Amino acid sequence: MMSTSVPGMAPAAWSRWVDTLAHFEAATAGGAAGKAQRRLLESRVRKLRTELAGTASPGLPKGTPHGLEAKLRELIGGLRAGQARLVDDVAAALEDIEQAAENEDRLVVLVFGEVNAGKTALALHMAGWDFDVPRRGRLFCGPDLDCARRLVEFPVEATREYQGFRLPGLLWIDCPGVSSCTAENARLARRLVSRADLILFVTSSDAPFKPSEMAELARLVRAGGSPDLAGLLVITQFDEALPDYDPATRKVTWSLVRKGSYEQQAAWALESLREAGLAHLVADRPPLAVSTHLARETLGLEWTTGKPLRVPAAGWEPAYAASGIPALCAALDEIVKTRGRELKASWPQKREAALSARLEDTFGGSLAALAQIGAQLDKLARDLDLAGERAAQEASERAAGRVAPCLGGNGIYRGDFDAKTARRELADHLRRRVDEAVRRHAGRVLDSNLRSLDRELAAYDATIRLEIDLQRKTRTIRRTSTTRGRAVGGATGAAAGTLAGAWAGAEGGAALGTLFLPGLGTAIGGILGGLLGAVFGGAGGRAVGRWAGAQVQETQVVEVPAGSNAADVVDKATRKVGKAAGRLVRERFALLKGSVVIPLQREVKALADTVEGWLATFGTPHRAAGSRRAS
Amino acid sequence: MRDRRLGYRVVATGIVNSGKSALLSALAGQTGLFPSADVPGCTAKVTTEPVGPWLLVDTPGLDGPGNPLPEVLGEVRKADTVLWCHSLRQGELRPGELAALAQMRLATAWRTCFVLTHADDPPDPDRQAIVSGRMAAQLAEAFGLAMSPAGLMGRDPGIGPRRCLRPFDIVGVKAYWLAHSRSGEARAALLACSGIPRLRRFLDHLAAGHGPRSDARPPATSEVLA
Repeated sequence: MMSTSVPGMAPAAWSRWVDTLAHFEAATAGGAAGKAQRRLLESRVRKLRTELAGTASPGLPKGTPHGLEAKLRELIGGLRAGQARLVDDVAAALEDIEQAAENEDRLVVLVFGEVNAGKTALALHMAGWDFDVPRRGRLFCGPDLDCARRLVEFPVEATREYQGFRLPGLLWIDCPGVSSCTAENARLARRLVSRADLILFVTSSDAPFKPSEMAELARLVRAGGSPDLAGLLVITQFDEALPDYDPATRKVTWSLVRKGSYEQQAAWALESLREAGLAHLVADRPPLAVSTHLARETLGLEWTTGKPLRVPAAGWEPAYAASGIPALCAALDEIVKTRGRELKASWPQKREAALSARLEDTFGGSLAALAQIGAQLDKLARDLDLAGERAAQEASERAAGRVAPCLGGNGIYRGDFDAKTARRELADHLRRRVDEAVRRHAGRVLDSNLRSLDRELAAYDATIRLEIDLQRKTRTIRRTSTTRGRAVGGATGAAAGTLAGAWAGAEGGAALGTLFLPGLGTAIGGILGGLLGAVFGGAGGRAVGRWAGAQVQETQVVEVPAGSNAADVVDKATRKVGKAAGRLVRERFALLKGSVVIPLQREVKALADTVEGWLATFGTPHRAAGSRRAS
Repeated sequence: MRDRRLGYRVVATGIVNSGKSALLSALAGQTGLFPSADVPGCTAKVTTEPVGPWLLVDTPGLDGPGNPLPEVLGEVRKADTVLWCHSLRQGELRPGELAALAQMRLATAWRTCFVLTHADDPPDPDRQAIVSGRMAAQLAEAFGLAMSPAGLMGRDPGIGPRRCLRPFDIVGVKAYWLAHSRSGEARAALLACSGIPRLRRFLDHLAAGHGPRSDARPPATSEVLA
């Protein structure tokens, strides 16, 4: 349907805007702006898609502690869910990139707001469908890329598809209402945010921005777009109908006027955007208040359907300005002129930032959780080592303490020793002590999940080779000895040395005494010399005699009684069993570590590497920190 | 517990900017008795005004600043009749409204009256029919409620005492206030267009059968206009 209210004419501000858009298209033809960045983004997104195709499903080894297992399973579940979401996001990003390539010479404007805020009416009006002009926008609605009919304006939620219009240099997307009753519409709204170069935040003047609407809006912008989108705040339906009674027709009549509460509503809308953290998106541009109904009224069209009713009054354009549409056209015109190219060029970065933020939201927490689990596993390994040492010590002491009673009970001191039984009992005892110690100490570290490892650990051979070399019967042995020769030689040498020393000393002392005092001196010198000579001569003679006697060997016959080496055997067995218990416990702890902790550490590390790989796709500084934590 | 000595308690509730304060002021016949504005949050707290046999209670808009839902639910529980206001300009019931209605659990369904406001901004019978139809479908789908052909809340034996609704009242206060300055045929036409007298008559009927303050005569529309 085509209106004929303004034949061949359109508001000047609208025509200027359309001209600017056409120039913009001509200037950006070929899509130089942002093309290289878009290709780079595409390659990164494709790489991410390949990486996400791998599964994040590590196998958890048997014996993984319950608490850790639950935590890991939860984390892995979260990662898989995040992976699935991201796969969708990546597919959406690729679609967006494809769409961006199709629209590289057009500014993509998304109209975003609550259900029934008048977005579709605004789209129709801005597309020029309320004017009689040859170059009005080409409407599209879902699969119908060139609608011959107007988009549906309905008093209840009507927009259920991707719809809008195209003008040279412009793609205007009429987004389904935020706070829609249907989840599908909300999803579509979120999807479309990421395609926009410019967003028109639309709120109805009948219920300007409610807190819940703002929260939803902020959530959608965060989820679907980047935090630095360019925006424009538009208050729609800025009109009110005033009643009157027409006596001629005897009917109540209504006239449409612009509302008078702009200041109040603009302040409220800006405050709401500020509270939702979106104020920066509209920068310092004041909100624009528009009314398509008022615009249509001025053009002689029916308010709600755009049907032509009458020929507009002469000089309609000044009255048309009260609808706020010329101001909106002028604002858009200025944005296209001053920021159009920049907005187009920055789209890939914004899209990348959005996807990067999405990655961060999805996996940033997982990486931190993986780092925590990594630290927990390191501690587990240390605890297991300490517990192993304690268990080895305990098992060693308890196993050794049982050896003597066991051997004694089997008759090692009585001569009827049953070595076979003793060896079997000791082996059993050893196995039990080792099992006890491992179970008690490892169980404290690895929760109670040790039972699941029993089958593997039970196969381990816990016996030792205990060789018991016990003297079984009394027997005679021959042996050589030098004991007697030493004794005889020593005594003989001592006697002979004493006599010879006494004689020589007396003689020498007497001769010396005579030199000083003949007579008395001779006697005293003789006595002292004799004593000294006897002492030194005896010691020397004894030493010489022992040496000489040791040269003489003697063969002896000795009788060795049965069981005389039992104490030695018991000591030796005790040491050996204690040592074996310690070794076995350490080996089993090493087995535990090797079968539980180390594979877990390997899996967690691999998982962290995978997640880091995903996060590193767009390479932001956070990843390195995450990497350090995980390692 | 409702204290019937204070009057027949009429509580207006709904989301922000749905015309609650304007409706109650019009019912009372006093301009600005309950202040209203074009932006959310004008009614920041519960306001009560006795008018004839009624005790009119204005509540902050749900979904407005400061989460007033608990306070509003408290008032709703004490109400004899709840006027759930919904602006025709906003289309069907929003998810927030459906959630609030679910919180009320429709225990008050038989005393809830749905009032479609802003019917005169601009008046559009097609729009009124579409929105009413859609809202009725929403209420039927979400809560199993049906319109009572008898025109009274909870009185239709065919549907069940707690499962039927009075048909939506459609009101526009601008025509009502304009009627103040007119007389004769013009006043009658504007009053009929506003829908306020019809709603007043319905509330009068409820209050008269209710018993509280039976000595207080309901204010007639003509008195209010005078």
